[in-house]
Order: sequence, then C-alpha cells, then structure tokens
Amino acid sequence: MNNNYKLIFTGPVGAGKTTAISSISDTPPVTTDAVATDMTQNIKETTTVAMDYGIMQLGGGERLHLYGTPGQERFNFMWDILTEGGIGLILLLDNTRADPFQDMHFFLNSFREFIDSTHLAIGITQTDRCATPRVDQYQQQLKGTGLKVPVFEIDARERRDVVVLIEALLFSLAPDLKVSA
Amino acid sequence: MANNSLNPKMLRVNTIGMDQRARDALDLFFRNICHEDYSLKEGDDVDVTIIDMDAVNAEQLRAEHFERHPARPTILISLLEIEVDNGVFLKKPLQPGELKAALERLRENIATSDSTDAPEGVAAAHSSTPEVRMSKPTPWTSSAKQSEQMADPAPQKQSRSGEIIPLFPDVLQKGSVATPSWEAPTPPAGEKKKEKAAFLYDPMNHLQGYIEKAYRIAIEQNRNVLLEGPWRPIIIMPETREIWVEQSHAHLYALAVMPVHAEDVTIRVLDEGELPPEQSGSIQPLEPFLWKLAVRTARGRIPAGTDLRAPVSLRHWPNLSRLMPIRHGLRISALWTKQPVSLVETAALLDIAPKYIFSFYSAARALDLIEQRERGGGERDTKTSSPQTPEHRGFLSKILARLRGRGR
Repeated sequence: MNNNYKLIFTGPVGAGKTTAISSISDTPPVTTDAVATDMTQNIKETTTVAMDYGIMQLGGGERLHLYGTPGQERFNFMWDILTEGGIGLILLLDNTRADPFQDMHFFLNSFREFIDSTHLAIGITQTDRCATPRVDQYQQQLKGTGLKVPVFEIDARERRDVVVLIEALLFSLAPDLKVSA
Repeated sequence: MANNSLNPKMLRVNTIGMDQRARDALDLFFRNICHEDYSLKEGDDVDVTIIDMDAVNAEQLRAEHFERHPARPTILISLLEIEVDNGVFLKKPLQPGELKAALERLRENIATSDSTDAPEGVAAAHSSTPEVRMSKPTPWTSSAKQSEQMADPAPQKQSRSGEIIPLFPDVLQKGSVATPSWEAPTPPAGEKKKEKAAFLYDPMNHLQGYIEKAYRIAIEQNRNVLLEGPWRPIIIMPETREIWVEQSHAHLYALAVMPVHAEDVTIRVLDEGELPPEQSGSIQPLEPFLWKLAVRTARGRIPAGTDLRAPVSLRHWPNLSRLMPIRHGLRISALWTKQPVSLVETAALLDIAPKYIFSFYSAARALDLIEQRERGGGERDTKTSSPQTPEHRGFLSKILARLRGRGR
C-alpha cells in the first residue's frame, strides 16, 4: 500500500510556498534556504535553493508529504523528480510581481503534464499589497489554456486560506469525496 | 392610550424579547416599506407591543407585560403555533402583509376602544379579521384543522409578483433556509402558485435584482452607476469592481428580504469623474457583497424560471476564499466546473440537501457565473470522480478529514 503521497507547492520566488507549507505542516518544515546572492536578494534575504519539506500525519502510519519547489528557474531539473507520486499541484502567484500572468503561464507550461494527470489549484498571494490583477482576470487568462481550476486569493500565513485551497484541489479530483471517519 | 404628536396616523410600537438585529429589520421595514405609518420605539409609551415568544424567558416577559399593560394591543410572534389567550398571534416567518394587516386591525381596535372604552386587549382578542391569525377569546391550541380554518389569505402575503415573501426570516426564523423537495406534491389548482413559491423567488422583487441590474449597466457603459430606492444611495464602480454604500451593511442585508417595487427605484449612470463623497459611506469589493446579498435574499431558494433538470455549469470557480461560505460550495464548484449537471442530479451525485445547491446556484448566478443549457443536450458523463483506486480515494478522504481537524 502506498502511504507516501505528495502534495506539491510551486510558484515564483516570494510567492509564499514555504509559509504555506509551514501553516499546515505538523512539524516545522525542513527548508533549504540560503542567502540570496542573485536578483532574488532584491525580494528577500534568503531563498529556497533545493526544496521545502513538511509533513501531515494522517493516522495509521499514513502521511502526506508536502514539497515546495525552489522558485528559481535554474532548479527546473528538480521539478520532475519532486512531482513523482504527487496527488496534485498548488501554484502560488505573487500579485506584486511585475507580470504575474507571465509567471502563471510559465508554471502551467512547466507542469502541464503533471497537471493533466492530476489537478491544479492556484492561490494568489499579496493581494493586500497589490489588488490587481483581480482573480477574475486570472480566470480570463486561463480560458485559453483549457483549464477550469480554482483560483483563490489567499494569505499564505493563514491556515484557513491554505486549507480551502487544498480542499478545492481535493474536490477537483473527486467532487463526491467525503470526510473519512 | 398614547398619542402621536408628529403623525396622527403613526402607530407607535415597541418590542419585547427581540434581538437588536431583528429590531433593526423591523425598523427598516417601518421606515422604508410602510412609509412611516408605524414607528419603532424604545420606551414603554407606545400603542402596540410585539413580543417574540421564541426568546429564552418569553413566558416571563409576556406575563410581566400583561400584568403591567393588560389592555395594550399586543402581537405575539413565534416559530411554533402557541396558545394565545390575549393578543394577536403571528407565526414566523413574518409576512409583510400579515404584519401590516395585524397592525392595521389593531389600529381599528384602538379607535373602537377609544370610542367605547373597551379594554384594548379584549378588543383585539375579539376581533375576527380574516387577514391575520387572530386569537380567540378562549385559549386555543394549534392543530391541522385549526390551522386550515385560520389559513392566511393570499393577498396580504403576496408581493405584486405573487411571490410569498417572508419578513426578516434570517433574523426571526430559526433554521430559515427553505428545504424544498424536488417534486412538490400537486397542490389544488388555486394553491399552485403558493406551492411553487416555496422554493422560487424573483431577485427583481428585492435589492439584489437592482444591484445586479445596475452592475450590468455599469459594466456595459463602463461608468459609475447610482442606485436609489428605499435605501440610502448605492454606487457601483465597474472599473474597480467595487460598491460604495452609505448605509451600514447590516441594514442592507436586513433589507435583502424586503419587497422592492420597480417604481420606487431609479438607476442613473453618473457623469465621468462623478465619485462617491469621501466623507461618508464605505467602499468594498462588489462580488463578496453581491454574493452575500444573494445568499441572504435567496435563503435556500432559486430564481423563478430556473429549470431544475437543465444542465448547469460554472464559467469558472468563484473566489471562495473571500466569499461568504455556503456549505458544500467547494464540492458543487468542483462538479459544475467538471461537467454540466442539473440541480436534481447534483443533489443525487453529491448526496447533499437541495437547499445548499439552491443557495449556491443563486449566489453564483448573481455573479454571472452560471451557464445553463437546454434539457436533453445529449449524453453526459455522470461520473463525478477522476478514475482513482479506492485506496487513493480513501487517502484523499483522510487528507480532508485531517484538514478539517479530524483523523491523525
């Protein structure tokens, strides 16, 4: 019996992947942050160079592994490895970035095979700092991709927000899913 | 008998056992819908008292009230039919027509008792107006037969469209969401309209419909639009998808269930640069406001004309993290973005009560997210899940349980 399913968090630098994993992980996530030495240092002091890892204990020895991909494109080679065995993808997009639509399309293209075989939910972060683009405008952008996926504004620090996004992903996989006893 | 110094026609009313939200709704009803024929008062110098018999200590409050004012015309309201030996009884949810009829009848009784010196309460109790459930001189208990005999006539309960509109159901009716069955029993010919109205409503009889209409105009013309009616001014701003309201949100949501007539409403496209005053009111995102207003207005119903068996789908997911939660909203969204499914099928596939589906449908429709096809649009896939092993599904269920604070 496979008791090692994974949930993958991806998105550009500073979108809140590490924070989102922290908000739902049972243990403090293992991060591989390093001092930023490239353009990233303009955004934050440290950045994830390999991956973030958290865990959610489900009982009976089963667990959900939470993986956050590194944000920089030069680590793309890791993404295929990380997604193996994944139940779905959470894409977090930073609304304050110069072109969040371009970010979205980049990650959709990069993970398209994985998305098509599982499912996707998108969280828009930092909307308190930058209100546009609005969620409906992201949905407009998605029209051309053939994807009808949940896109929610979220605050990655708020467990409630992260939970509703993951629940949307789970119900996208199986709308008739019920809570197990 | 109390006298009205301002408006001789105005009937002064106080309440006992009613919470502030319900009082606010009543106050709005008197001011906006009844054109100030009645006035809600704080003190005890009033013409009529309304007692909420669903209050925790209602019996004690009633006893104290009648001890102090044995002759005061009194309306008792409750979810359950209760024994009334003094005063007028109205069953919740209150209907605007019923309440007005009761108040008008009491007004007549007050006038009669003024001229005859008869005790007020007795006058009320002995009146036999057919418009409202009047108590009899002797105590009575509810029974099906009695209810039939005292059935409310339609005219007072219906809006101009014929819709039955409960008054303040959120506030005064516990478990207020309608729980319709899919196939209502065939009513007698004359009752058909009334049965149908149990789970149908017309948004255009309410504030919701006019905000939707103003929003459409604003989007079409890409200009701010001013909406005026039995409420303080509302401005829709299409560019930012925001709404400016001068009235408190609580008041506006209380207004949601009140009937609105087209002739009382004006919609005006504002000149470019014409903005809401900065010093008053508040601005907020339009969609969460309209979603909540639709939920409050619909209360588990769907707009009239909705085909229960026509396939429904969503243009896209609503931004559910920032909208008023509707139970099972995530499941319904997931299903309706996956494939078109009728309302009837949705209930069966997801095994959830129609009231939640109706609420979600009404709210999503208000945001123009609903696409509904004609019936018989070909074979559809009625499987709700992606192909998954039972093991995989079990695992997903455990994640869900864990996220909701169970399992582990």
